[in-house]
Amino acid sequence: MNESWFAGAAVVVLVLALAGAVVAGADDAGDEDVSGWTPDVPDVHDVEEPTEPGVATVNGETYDSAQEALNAAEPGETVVLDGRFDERVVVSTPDVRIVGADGTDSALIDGGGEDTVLWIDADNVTVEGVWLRESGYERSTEDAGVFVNGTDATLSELRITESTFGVWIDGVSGTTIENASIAGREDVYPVVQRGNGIHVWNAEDVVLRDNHITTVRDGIYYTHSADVLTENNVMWDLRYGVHYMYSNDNVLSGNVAFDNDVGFALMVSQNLTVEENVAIDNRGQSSHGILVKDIDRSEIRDNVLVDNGNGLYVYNSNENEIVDNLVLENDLGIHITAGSSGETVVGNSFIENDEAAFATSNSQVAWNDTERGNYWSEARTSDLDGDGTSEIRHQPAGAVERLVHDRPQAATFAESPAFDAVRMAESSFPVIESPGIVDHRPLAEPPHDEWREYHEDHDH
Amino acid sequence: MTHDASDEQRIPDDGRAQPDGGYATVAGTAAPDGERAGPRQVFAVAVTEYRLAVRSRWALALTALFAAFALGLTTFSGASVSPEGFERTVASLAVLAVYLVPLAALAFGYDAIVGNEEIGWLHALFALPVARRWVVIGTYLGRAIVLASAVVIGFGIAGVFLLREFGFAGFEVYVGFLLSTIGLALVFLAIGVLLSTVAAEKTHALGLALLAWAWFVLVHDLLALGVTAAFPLPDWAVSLLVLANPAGIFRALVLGALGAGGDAGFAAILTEAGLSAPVLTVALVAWIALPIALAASLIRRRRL
Repeated sequence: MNESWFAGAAVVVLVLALAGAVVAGADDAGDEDVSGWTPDVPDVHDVEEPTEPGVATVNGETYDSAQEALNAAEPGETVVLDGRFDERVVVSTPDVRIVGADGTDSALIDGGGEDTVLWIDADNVTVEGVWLRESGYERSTEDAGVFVNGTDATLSELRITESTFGVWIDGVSGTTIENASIAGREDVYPVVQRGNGIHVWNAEDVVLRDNHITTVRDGIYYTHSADVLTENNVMWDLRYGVHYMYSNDNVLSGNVAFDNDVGFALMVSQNLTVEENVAIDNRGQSSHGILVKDIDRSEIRDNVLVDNGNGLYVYNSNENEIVDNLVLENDLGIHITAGSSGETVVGNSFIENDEAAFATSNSQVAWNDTERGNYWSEARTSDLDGDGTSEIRHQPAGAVERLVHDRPQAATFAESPAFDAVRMAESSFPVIESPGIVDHRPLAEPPHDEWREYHEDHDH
Repeated sequence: MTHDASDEQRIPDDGRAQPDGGYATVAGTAAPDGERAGPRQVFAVAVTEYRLAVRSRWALALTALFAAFALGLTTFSGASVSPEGFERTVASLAVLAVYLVPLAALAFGYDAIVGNEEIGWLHALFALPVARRWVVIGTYLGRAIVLASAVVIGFGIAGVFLLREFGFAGFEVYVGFLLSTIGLALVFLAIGVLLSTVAAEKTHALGLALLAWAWFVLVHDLLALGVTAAFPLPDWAVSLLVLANPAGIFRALVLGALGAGGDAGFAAILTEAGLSAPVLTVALVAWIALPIALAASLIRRRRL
């Protein structure tokens, strides 16, 4: 039969396709995906420790005990520590420097699992390149690696491990903490039983920079503190990366939080500036990239939120600027709830989130009456006059989104051509108004390009 | 047309093997009472339908349509902002295949019975000692092979281009889409044949086919969405609404397969709602079998 070529060709194609699928299924490693993206972080455990008995040198004299050397030190003098000390130390002389002989990990002070390892009780004290570990286990007595009770303390290149709190700043101003590696006790469980990496209590003019914090409760916890600059820190495997409570006028900039329950938790504070931070793969009980709870008049700008449960979760927060953030591949891009109002949401890129936005509001919220809106990867845009904004408005959260949020299998209907027509109508014609969020001038092109780098292969 | 296929249709008049010039060897006459002759008769009708469709260039037209559609979508969709690869392509293909494939299948199927009647071919067939149901089933099978082949070749060509672009990673998603599309096409062909069986005239069948298309592609989901929104339906009822539309089943199958590599995704949600891939597949097969069974039974009432 000379017509059999047609079915024959189809069978050949089908067999080849199935074979291809089997091959493809077998090596599926090269899938482009954001999951598995992890920044490089130093290994905080498994560090070689000094074993020689400790020798403390001050003013040419040597001592077996760091405390004795500190007692002998005059203001302005430097105490050099080398080797291992098993003691707890109190610094009560102002203006002294304590340094490790040969950088971090050459000097170790082991607190033996009780109280605070290093207590700074004088002003202008500098500690540099020392490893502190084994504080006590009590949170109520603020057992810490370093307890700061003097103004203008500088802590740099410290390693703090096996401690309840890493550093506790106790109501003093001018503290600087740089290049510290802080790791708590992994065997204390649940995580809420641990202390915080850096606990800033009632402090001002604090700088926290380039620190690595992991396996504590909250990476950095601020309460009743102002003018704290927190920049370029990396926080992972925590409950919250940072946690603001009752702390106004602070700046959080350039930090990275990944694999936490919540990347950056902002609560009950005003006038925060949160910019250029990265929150990736924060999933757990709450699963937010940035949690904005009871936050007023703050600026959340240029952050990158990737692969979290919710990119942004905004709860009872008013008059904030949420501007120029990249919100990529989260389960839900932005969740607005509990009477949040007056937000300016402009210039953000919402790309490939399972659900771009969700609002519990019963009224319709227009996010931007500004000249530019946000980029929505699923929006129909039509930029006829070439000014970069679409002439068709976009409703990322409307009646259907709410329905699908409640009943996921209804998404089968919602993906249908019919629904596309409804959504187009909902977006295009202001005649059909439904509660939710409306972007009047969605952007035709995404203002962010760096989403690509989160999509490369991550074979770690 | 009759001439083209005449050598395939020489069904022996009483089922007994006779020295009839070889006709019996084509149609099969081992069982005198038609019970075991059924499959052979089906085969003979199916082969005729298949040959007619290939010769009349339906096969080529359908293949070209699918290929042009898939290639156009995959090559000219432009530099969109989203991760590239099979998943994204399949997501776009699935959304548009829901319009096109049912329409093509219904257009190919609506005249299967009533069209053959109008040109007199059905009279000729029914004059032979062939059970009418075998004629319906054979007609369906013949056209189904043509349609399925057109889907496979048309989308297969696009698949080759996609392979060159993306490599093998994720190709199984595309093949899953291909298989689901075959299922979708066969369902709507079955519906087309059923409508063709009940329609009195070809124009009626065409009208019914268009109505069916509008219902399954446009109206059903809209209504289902409205009903789900308006009434507090139990979960199983929502799932039933999904299964009540073959286009919805197709969508659930294809979209469910997406994102299965990464997070749990849509498939997990569907499985939780009682719509796992096996359930969906069975439902799709039922959507093929039921219309054909109905057509095979209703053909007896047809008056020529």
